[in-house]
Order: sequence, then C-alpha cells, then structure tokens
Amino acid sequence: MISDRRKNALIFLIPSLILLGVTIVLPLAYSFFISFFSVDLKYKGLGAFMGFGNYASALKDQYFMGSIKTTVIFSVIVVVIEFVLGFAIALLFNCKIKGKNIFFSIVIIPMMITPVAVGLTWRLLLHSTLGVVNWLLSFIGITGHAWLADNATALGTVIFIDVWQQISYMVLILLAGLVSLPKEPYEAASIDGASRWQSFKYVTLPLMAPTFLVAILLRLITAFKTYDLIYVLTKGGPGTATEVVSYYIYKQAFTHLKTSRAAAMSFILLLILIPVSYIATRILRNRNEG
Amino acid sequence: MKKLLVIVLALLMVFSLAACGGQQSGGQQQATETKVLKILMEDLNATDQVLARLDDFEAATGIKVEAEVINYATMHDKLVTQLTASESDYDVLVVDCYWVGEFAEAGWMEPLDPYIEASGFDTSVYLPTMMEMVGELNGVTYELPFYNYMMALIYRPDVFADEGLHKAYVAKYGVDFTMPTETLAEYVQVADFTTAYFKEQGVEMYGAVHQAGRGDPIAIEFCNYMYSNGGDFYDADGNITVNNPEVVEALELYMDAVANASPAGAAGFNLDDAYAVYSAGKAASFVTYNTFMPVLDDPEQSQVVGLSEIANIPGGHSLNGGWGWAIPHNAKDKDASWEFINYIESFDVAKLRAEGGSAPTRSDIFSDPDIMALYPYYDTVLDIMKTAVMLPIMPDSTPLMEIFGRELSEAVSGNKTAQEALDQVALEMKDLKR
Repeated sequence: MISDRRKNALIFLIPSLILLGVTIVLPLAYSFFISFFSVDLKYKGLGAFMGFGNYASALKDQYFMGSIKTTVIFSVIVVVIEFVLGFAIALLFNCKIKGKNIFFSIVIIPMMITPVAVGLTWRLLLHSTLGVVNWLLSFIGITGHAWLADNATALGTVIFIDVWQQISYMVLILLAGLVSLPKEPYEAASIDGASRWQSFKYVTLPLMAPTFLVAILLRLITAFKTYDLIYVLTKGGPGTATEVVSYYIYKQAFTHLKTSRAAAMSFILLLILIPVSYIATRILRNRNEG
Repeated sequence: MKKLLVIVLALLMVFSLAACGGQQSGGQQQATETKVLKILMEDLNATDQVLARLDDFEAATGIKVEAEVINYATMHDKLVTQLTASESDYDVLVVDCYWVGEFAEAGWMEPLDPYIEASGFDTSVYLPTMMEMVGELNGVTYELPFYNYMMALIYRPDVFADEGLHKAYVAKYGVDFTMPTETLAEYVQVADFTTAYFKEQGVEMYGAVHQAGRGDPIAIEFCNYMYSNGGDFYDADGNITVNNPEVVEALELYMDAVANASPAGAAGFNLDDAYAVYSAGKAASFVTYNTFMPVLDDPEQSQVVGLSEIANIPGGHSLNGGWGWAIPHNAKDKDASWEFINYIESFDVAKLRAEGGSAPTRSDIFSDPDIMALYPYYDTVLDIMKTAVMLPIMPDSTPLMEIFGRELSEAVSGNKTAQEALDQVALEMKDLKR
C-alpha cells in the first residue's frame, strides 16, 4: 500500500522534477562547467581550459573582494535595522489598536512595489537640487546635500531605501510568528505573577527565537543578492562605494562579456550563501518536526 | 483503474506544459508570416521621429514594425543576450558607435553590402565621419548611420552676459571673459566663478551642470575634456596614453568643475538628472549632445525655450558620436529588415525625421534649405564635427568605458587623485583587446 502511494507520488512528481531539472539543475551544472573555461560571449565555443584560474583571479580581484565587503556591510546593517524595527512594528500590530488594518495595509505597500520603481522614485525624491527631500530639509537649514553622490552618505542612503521597502517583509514574518504563539504559557506566567515585561522577556522572546532566526537568515540571503536597487540608484557609485557583489558579477557577464569569470564569481558567492541557507533550512525542518 | 487514472493525469500535465511551449513558437511563426519587425530603441526624440513614420511604412509595404523603447542603460545588455541566441527577437538593430567594434568582432551584424548593391542605395550621401563611425569597418558596411549625437557646449548667453558677473570677474582676475572661452581651463574658471557669484547674490544658478554619475555618463562627458586638452586613450602607434599629463590635467579640471561649478550631487547625476537642472533654468552651461537643442526649445520639455546657444568645447575637440542601423546575424527575415532600413534612411523620410529634430547624418539633409531654416545652428554643428574625435572602435570598447567610468567616478568622489585613477585605467587597458 505504502509502496503504491510512493509510486503514485513519484509519477506526479516527475513533471515538476523535469521542470526543476531543466530550469535550475542544468543551468547550475552548466555554469559550474564553464567556470573552468574562458567563455567570452563575443566568441563561439568554450575557449581555453583554465582549471581553477577563474576562481584564483576572482579572489585576487580587488574590486570583486571590495564588492563582497560592501555586500556584507550592507546586508548586516539592513538585516539588523529591519529586524529591530520590524519586530517593534510587529509587536504594535499584535496589540489591540483601532484602525490597525489600515496601518497594516500602509506598512506592506512598499513590499508590493518592484525595487526598480522604488529606486526610480527615490532617485527623483533625492535629486539634490530638484528633489522633495532636500526642499523639505531646507526648512530646517540643511541645504543641497548629495545623498547618493557623497561617499559618506551613499551606502547609508541605499540602506535607508532598502529598509523602507523590505521592512514589511520582516513585519509580516514576525507578526505571523507572534499571532501563532500559544496562549497557555502567558496564562501560566500571569498566574505566577509575571509582569508584562517579564512575560515578554521570559515567554515571548524564547518562543519567538526560531522565527527570529528564520526571518534573519532568509532576509540575509535576499540582502546578499541585492542588485536591482543598486542598478537603479547608483550603478555602484560614487566610485565603488555602493558596488555590491551581484552588481559586480552582472557587469563581468554582460559588459565585459566574461561569462566564465562571472560564473566562477557566482560560485564563490554561492559558497558564502550555502552555510547560511543550510542553517535556515535545518531550523525550519526542526521546527516543523517539533 | 486508479493507476491508469494517475498515469493519464501525469501525462496530461506533461503535455499541457509541452503545449504551452508549442503555442509560443506557433505565435512566432504567425508573426513572421504577417511580417512584423521588432526593434529595440532608446527613449529619445530621434526614436520618436522613427515611430511617427511606422504607419506610412506599413501602408507602403505591409510590414508592421514594433519598437520596444527603453532607457539607454539597459540596451547593450539586453541586445547581447538576444545576439548570442540562435534566433533574435529583434529584426533590426540600432547600434551605438562604441559597440561597433564589439558587435563586428562577434559577427553579430550582417554585412549590408549585398543589400546596398541590390537596392542601389547611395551611401556616399552620408557625412564621411558618420560612415567611418557607424557605417563601414575594415571595408565592410555593417550599418547605415541613423542619427548623430556629437557632443558640444550648450550654454545660456543671457546668463553669461550679466553685467554684475563681468564686473566681479574683472575685479577678481583683472581680465574679462567671453563665453565660449578659448581654453578648457578658462571655461572651468568662469563656470566656478559664475556659481559662486550667483550664490552670493542669493540666486540658484550654477555655472555648469555635469553628468558625473558612475559609468557611461561620466565616461562620455569627460572624453570632451580629455580630447579638448589634447589627450586620448591611445596614440597613433597604439600605445596607451590615458594617464599622460594632458589627460591628468583634464581630469583635474573636470574634478574642479564638478566640485565647484555644478550643483551638489552632480557626481551622481546621469543625463536625465543633469538635463533636468539645465532645462529648469538652474544652470548656465552643459556639455551635452547636440540633439538636445530642439528639445530645449520645446516648451513642453523645457523652461529655457530659445535661450540656449551651441558651441564647440573650449579647447576645440568634442566627442563625436552616433547610432547606426544594422541587421542582426540571426534575424528571421533579413530582406524585410533591409526593406525597413532602406525606407527609413531614404531622403524623404530622413528629411521628415530631421524636421522633427532628429540630428541628421546625411550631408544632403544638412544642406537642405528647409532643414537649415528650421535649425540654423546646424552650420555650427557641422563646424564642430570637423574637429570632433570618436571613441576607439575596438572589440573591448564597452569594458573600456565601464573601467573608465568607474575610475573617473573614484576621482570625482575623492577616493583617488586624478593620476591614481588614470593609472588604474591604463593598467586595466593592457588586458583589453584592441
């Protein structure tokens, strides 16, 4: 009986497996294969065999390594800010507030907009001479600051815009976690005479810990792959101040047309992300089994 | 029975997927039968003038043309993915002058000579500089020139005529100035001074505005400074000269102008940002494409109608530029593609486009009395073109501009000195195929 069910399941899975194989596994395997050659889109064929040459030259490339550093700084800061603010907002939405649904809709609006539209809108808002932001700031004596063109503020501005857009994702996950928490531990805590702060510290936080980890790790993975916002806002500039690794790899592939090099860099990025995604899936599985 | 049902359902899923794919290719086949040509074009006036002629072309030939109009920044990368495929979605290409070496090296453009010969198209009507840039390469005609975008100095004589400005300038430097100035150094000095003067007067007017954002904007704009100061990427023997003293000096002048003449934020501006400042009447000069003159005189797109004049870059060497029409090597119906190019570049249609403000490439359009009456400054454009310099045509010109744009941005944002930035460009240029 079980064997029959398994067979049936397998038959139903075949189309999806074929689809996944064709769209994910094959391209991944092919890009791994070409990362050992010197494919240049201008020319036909694989070019010379390079062994690990593309990997070695990527690790020696100061701009590639610099872009990884920028990506780590960007990802860590956005995730920390989005987590802290996102949790605060989720806690607020978990309370009984009048008109909560209206505020909730407003908070999740940025998540519905594509990053390209967000980038273009903020680019206009932040225009140093014609933008609304500087016009408003001029009333409190701050005039004509170049938010996206100044080394000191470019990355910070991109981080702000990313937080503005992505915080709703964090709010959604954390709020779902809060809503699904069991009531019994709170009742037990209140019988034991725990204050609101104590039940938050000793009940909410420990129960939310797995949700925290999943939210942080999933967001870390997506932050690490940020590309579109940088493309629209700064093109990696000024200089290399906002050049993140996905944007750098994209340039190698489609401007320099060095496909093999870009493939090798992508696998280095994958090596960085695999441990993070492994931990995230382990936690998710433990949680589901628990 | 149950097993049979499961197998039938699974097969149905597989076939429905296959059917989806089949429908798509069926759609493409139908498109070829009704002759629909697709083109990827940049969102600007020259494209609008082509779009305005598509109905006439369809009426004359029965061929429908669908143009996908997008922002310049994504065009190259979008084209590359199409050109490396076995069949292209696009049937006609518009090619920027600095992609020519790359596209020709890769074999992505169909040689046009057989089509030109068969249809008797006279290519001698084009300005020689345009044919050299976006026409022939190594004796093969790959393109017909579409429009020119040679750069120039666009400026506001009314602002630079300000009496107080001249008095203050003489008081500081002991000599007066005339705009356009003779040299690049003098231009930067006047632009810086103008910004400072109007700031003191409490007026928001900048001596110049720059498109110094990383990538193509800064690379293209700075070429005008580099050429006008006597510099270039390579010398006649092919040696790299991009970090020679005259280029370093040009970059120092450019950095000075971006920091002191332009509005804050110019180091992140692209063409649209800089144009917005100039067309809002907040800047007195702008090194930009000559094709913007008609746009600046259009009340719907500008607040400075009739106030601008065009001149050569101080120092005398602007960046020459242009776009060409080509047929992709993997086009489905090359004869239909040529029919469109042949039509859109014919004298009558080219004249209609030019009347709408598309910058000409044919000498017979430049000398046409109707066109000259509409755009009297074309005399100046032709003069500037005599000394304009084009980017090197080489297989790796796109990476060259990307590296150049990155390092120039490093310099204007204060991360590197002019010499350090240009030394890095020279170092990376050694790996580029010329």
